[in-house]
Amino acid sequence: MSRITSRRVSYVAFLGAVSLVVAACGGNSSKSTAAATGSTAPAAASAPKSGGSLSIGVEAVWHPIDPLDATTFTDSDISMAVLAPLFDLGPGGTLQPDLATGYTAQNGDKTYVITLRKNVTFQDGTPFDAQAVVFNLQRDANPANACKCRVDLKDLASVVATDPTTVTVTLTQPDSTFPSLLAGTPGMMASPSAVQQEGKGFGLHPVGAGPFKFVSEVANSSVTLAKWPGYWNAPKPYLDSVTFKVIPDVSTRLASLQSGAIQDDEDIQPTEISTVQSASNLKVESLGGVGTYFVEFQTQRAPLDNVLARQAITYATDPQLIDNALFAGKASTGIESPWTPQSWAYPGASVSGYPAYDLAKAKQLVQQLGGLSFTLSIRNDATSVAVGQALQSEWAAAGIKVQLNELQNLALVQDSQTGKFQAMFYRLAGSYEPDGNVSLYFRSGSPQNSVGLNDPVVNQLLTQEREATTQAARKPILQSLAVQLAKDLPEDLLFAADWWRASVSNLHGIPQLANNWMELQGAWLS
Amino acid sequence: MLQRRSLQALPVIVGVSVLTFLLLNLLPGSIALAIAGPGADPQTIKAIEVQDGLSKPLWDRYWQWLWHAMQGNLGRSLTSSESVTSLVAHALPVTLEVIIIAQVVALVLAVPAALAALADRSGRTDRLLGAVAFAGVSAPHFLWGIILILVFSVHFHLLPATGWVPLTHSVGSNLKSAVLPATTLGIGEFSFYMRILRGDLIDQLREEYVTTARAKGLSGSRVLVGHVLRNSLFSLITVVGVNFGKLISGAVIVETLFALPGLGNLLVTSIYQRDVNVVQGVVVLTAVAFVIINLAVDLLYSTIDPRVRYAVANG
Amino acid sequence: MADMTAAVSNRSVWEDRRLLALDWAVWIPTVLLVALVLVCFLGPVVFGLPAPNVTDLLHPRAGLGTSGHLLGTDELGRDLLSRALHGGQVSIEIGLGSVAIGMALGGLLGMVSGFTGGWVESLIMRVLDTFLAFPSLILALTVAAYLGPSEGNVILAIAFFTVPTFGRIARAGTLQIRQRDFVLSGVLAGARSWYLIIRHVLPNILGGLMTYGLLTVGVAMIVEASLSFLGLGVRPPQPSWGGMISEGKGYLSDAPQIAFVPGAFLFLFVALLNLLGERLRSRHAVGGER
Repeated sequence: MSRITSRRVSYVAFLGAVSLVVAACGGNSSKSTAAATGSTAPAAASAPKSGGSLSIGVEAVWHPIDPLDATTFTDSDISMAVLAPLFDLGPGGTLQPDLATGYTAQNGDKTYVITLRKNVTFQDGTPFDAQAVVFNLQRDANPANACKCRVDLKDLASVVATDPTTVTVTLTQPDSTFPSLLAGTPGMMASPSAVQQEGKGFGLHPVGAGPFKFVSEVANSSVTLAKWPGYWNAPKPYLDSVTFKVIPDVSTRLASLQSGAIQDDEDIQPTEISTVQSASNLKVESLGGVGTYFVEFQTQRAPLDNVLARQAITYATDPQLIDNALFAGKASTGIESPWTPQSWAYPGASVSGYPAYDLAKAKQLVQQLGGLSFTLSIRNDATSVAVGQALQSEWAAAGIKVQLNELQNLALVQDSQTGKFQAMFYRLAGSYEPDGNVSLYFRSGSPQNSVGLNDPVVNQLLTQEREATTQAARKPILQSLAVQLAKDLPEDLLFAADWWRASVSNLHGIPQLANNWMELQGAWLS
Repeated sequence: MLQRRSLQALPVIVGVSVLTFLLLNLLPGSIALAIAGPGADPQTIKAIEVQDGLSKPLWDRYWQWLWHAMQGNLGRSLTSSESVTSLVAHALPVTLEVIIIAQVVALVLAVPAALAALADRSGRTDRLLGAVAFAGVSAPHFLWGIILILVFSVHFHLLPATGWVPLTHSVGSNLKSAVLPATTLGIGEFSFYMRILRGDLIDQLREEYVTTARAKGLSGSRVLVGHVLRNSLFSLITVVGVNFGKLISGAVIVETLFALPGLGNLLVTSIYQRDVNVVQGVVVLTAVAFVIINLAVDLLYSTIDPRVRYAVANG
Repeated sequence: MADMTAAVSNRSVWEDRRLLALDWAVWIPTVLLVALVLVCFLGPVVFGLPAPNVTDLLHPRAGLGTSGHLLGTDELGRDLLSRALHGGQVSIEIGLGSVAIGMALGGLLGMVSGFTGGWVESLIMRVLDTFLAFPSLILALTVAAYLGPSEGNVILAIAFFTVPTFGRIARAGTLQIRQRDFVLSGVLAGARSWYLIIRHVLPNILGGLMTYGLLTVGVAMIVEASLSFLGLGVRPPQPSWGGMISEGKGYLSDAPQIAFVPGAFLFLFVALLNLLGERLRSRHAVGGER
C-alpha cells in the first residue's frame, strides 16, 4: 500500500519479522512536552559521562548510507549519526536547529531563506557551507539520481547560495510544510567532495558532518561507527563507538537485550513490555506515534463501494477489545481521524459522524444489505496476522464474512497501488505534519489514493488547509476534514501506530524526536 | 572419470541458474518498485527500470547475466549496489564455519554414540541414546534455538544470544558467537547421523562376511572397526554429502534466528527485497559448491566400496 | 518363494508380520500414532470441542486447566486443544502427502536410473541434482511466495525437495543390489529390466525407502514449521502445529502454552514416527537374513 510514505517503514516487513510499528513521531503527550530541546534527556539528572560503546538492536537492514537510498528507520538512525540533518524535529513537529540555525519564510511560503551554522566541517575536512547544501538538495531533486525522497522535493524551483552561510530555496507553489522536510531525508548532508570522489559507492563509505564516523559494516548484519572528535557540538558525542545490529526476530532481539548482547532494542512488542518492566536493569519508553493502524477500503469496488457496507464494518469493529487481547491494552485507541494524540491536528477521541463500535447497528446494516462478504488483505507478519484474525471474528459477530488474504509485503504494496484489493489492513508511518497523513491518500487523482476516494469537499478542504499558513488557521479546516472523512469512511481506524523502545537502565540522553529517529550525539552510559 | 563427471555437473549449474531466474522473475511485485521503495512516484520507478536494465526482455537479461557470470562478474546488488561477489565473500565464511562446526560436532558425537549404542544393543545406553536422538529430530530448529537462547543467554548469561564476531577479530569470541547457532544446527544432524550409522552397523553385522571374519578368529572390535564401520561409512558419507545442501536451508532458519551475517540470511533478505542479482549469485554459487561436494562423495564412494568403483567406471 | 531369490525377497519387513506383531517396540508406537491420528481427526467431534477458529477476545491467553479450555487459550482466546487437534490434521496431511509424492517419484527415478545406467542414469541424476542443489527452503519459500500460502502448496513445496533424496537412496540401494549374483544371472538370462526391478530391486529397497519415508514424514512436518517461522505456512486462521508454534513465539514470556502445546504435539508425533522408523529399520535387517 502506498501508505508507507514516511519511508522507513516497510522493508522491515520484508524480513517477515513481526510488527514494526511504523513510523513517525514521538512521545506520549506528557513526555513530549518535557523534551523541548533536541538533545537533552529527561532522565539524565547527573552530568553526562564520556566513553563506552553502545550496541543497538534494530529490526530492518539498512540501505547504503546515502540520502538517495534511505527508506527504513535503520537508514535514518544511521544517517542521523553519520550525516546529520539541517534541522531536528522536536515534539509536536517543532523545528530545532542542527546543521542549520534557522530560517525565514518569504513570498507567501514560496521562498525560504535558511541560515547555516558557521565553522562546521565534514568528517573529511570539506567545509560545510551554503554550496554544500545546494549540492545536496540539487542531488536529491535530480530525477536521474532516483532519490527515494524526490516526492518531498517535487516543488523545488531553485536553490541558491546567497552567501557562504545562507541558502535561498524557491518553490513552484506555496508550501508551509517545506522546512520540516529538511528535518527528514532531504535535509541529510553528505560531503560533496566524498560524493564526487565515490560516486555511486558513497553509501558504502559515507562521510557527513554528524557526531559519528562510519567505520565498517558487515552486510545485512551490523554497522560500526566511532566518535568523531571534530564534531561541532563538543564535548558531544559522549560515546566512543556505536554499533547497529540487525536482529529481525522480535523474541531474539529481546533475548539479546536481556543477555547483554545489545543495550537498546529499538522496537519491542506490546506484549513484551511487562517482561522488560519486571527486569531491574532494563527500562522501557513509549515513543508514541503519529501514524495509525487501519483497514482501508477500495471505495470504487463492490461490495465496499457502498458506504453502508463500510459503515457496517466500522460499527462492527471494537478496537479496544483487540487492544486488550493482543497488546495488553497498551495501544492508543480513540482514533477516529487520521491523526493521533501526538499530532496537533488530533480532533479528540470522538469525531462527529464516525461509526464507533455498535454491534446492533452493524447487524442491522448487514441485514439491510442482505449480507456482506469480502476479502481482507494482510501482510504476513505476526501482528498483522493476529489483528486480521481478530477483526475477522469481530466482524463475524455482525454476520460479515471475511476471507483473509495473506501477502508478502511487496505483493501487498503492489496490490494497493494498483487498487487490487477490497479491504486491506495497514499501518501508516504517519507524519508529524498533518498534511502528510491525508493529502497523498485522499485527494482525487493522487497516485497514492489507493482507496479511490473522489470527493470534491475533501479536495477543497485539502487545498484550503495547505494554503492557510498558521496552525490556528489550519486546525478548524483539518477538523472539518476529519468529519468529512468520517462521512466518506475510506478507512476503519483502529489505533495509533505506537512505538516502544527498551534499553538498559544506564543508557541516557536519547531524545524523543517527533519522527522517532534516533539522535545519538547526547547519548551516554552511566 | 573426474573430467566426465565435471562435464555432467555443468547442466546442473545452468539448470539451477535458469530455474532461479525464472522463479524470481515470476514472483508477483515489480522489482523496480521493490528497489524504489513504497510510495515512489512512477517517474522514479521508470528511472530505476532503465538504469538497471529491468525493462529488457527476460532472456536478454539472462544471457547478459550468464555472459558476465562466466567472466566471474556476478553483478551488483540492486539495493546496496555492493558487488555480489564481495557480499558472498563476506557471508560465506560465516555460514561455512557454522555448518562445518555443526557437521564436525554432529559426526564426532554420532560415531562413538552409535558404537556405544551398538555395544549395548537394546540395553539401557542404547535406549537412552536412542531417546536423545529421537528428541533431536523431533522438533524444528527454531524451537531448539529459542530454548537454547532462553537457557544459555537469558538465564545463565553464558553465551551471546545473537551477533557474530569474525574469526579475524578474536578467535575466542568468534567461537563463543558460533556455539549456539552451530549447536542448534547440529542437534538434528547428530541424531540423524547416529541413527543412520547405528542402523547400518546392525545391517552390516548380519552380512556374511562378518560371520566369516569372526569364524576366522578375528576379534569382535577388529571386525567392527576394520570392516563393519568402514562399510557403514558408505551410507553415512552419502548422507553427510547430501546434507551440506540441506544445511544451507537449516542455515536460513538459524541465521535468521541468531542474526548471523551469513549466506542464509543474505539469501532470505534478498528474496524479500527482490534483489534478483544477489539471489541469483548466491544460489548458483551454492549449487556449484554442492555439485563439487557431490563429486567428491561419489569419488569417496568408489574408494570405499570396490563394487561401486567398478559400476561407476563402467556405468 | 520357491525360486533361488527367495531368501533375499524375504528381506522385506512387510512380509514378516508374525514377528512384527510380537515386537512391542513396533506396535506400541504404532498404536500410539494411530491413536493420535484418530484423536486429531475424530477428537474434536467426539469430545465436543469448540470450533478451532472461534475467538473470545475477552478471555485471551488463558492458562492450562481453565474451565471449558483444558489446555488454555491462545492470544485471540481460541481453544488451544481444539486448535492443536485441527492443526494436527493439517500437519499430518502435509507430512504424509508430501512424502507420498516424494517417495513415489523419487523411488521410481532412483531405481530406473540405478538399474538402467548409461545416459538415462545421467539425465535423471542431473535433474535430481539440480533440485537437490537448489537450497530446499529457498525453493519452498519462492514457490509459496508465488502460489500464495495454502495447504496444497506447502505439500507441493515440501514434496519437491524430498524427491531427490528418495531418488539417491533408491539409486544407491539399486546399485548394490544390481551387483548381486541373483540379479546378474537374471540379466544374463535375458529377463526384462522392469521385471527385475519390480521382482528383485523394489522388494529389496522398499524396506529402506519406507523406513526413510517414515522418518521423512517427521522431517516434512518440521519443514512445515520452518516455513511458518518464515511466514509462509498455511493460510490463517487455519491452524497447523508449525504455524501455532510460530504464532505463540511472540508470547513466550506471558503465555508459553500458546507455543508449547502445539510444540508438544508435534514433538510427540514426530518422536513416535522416529521410534517406529528406527525400529523397523533394525527389524528390516533382522527379517532379512534369517
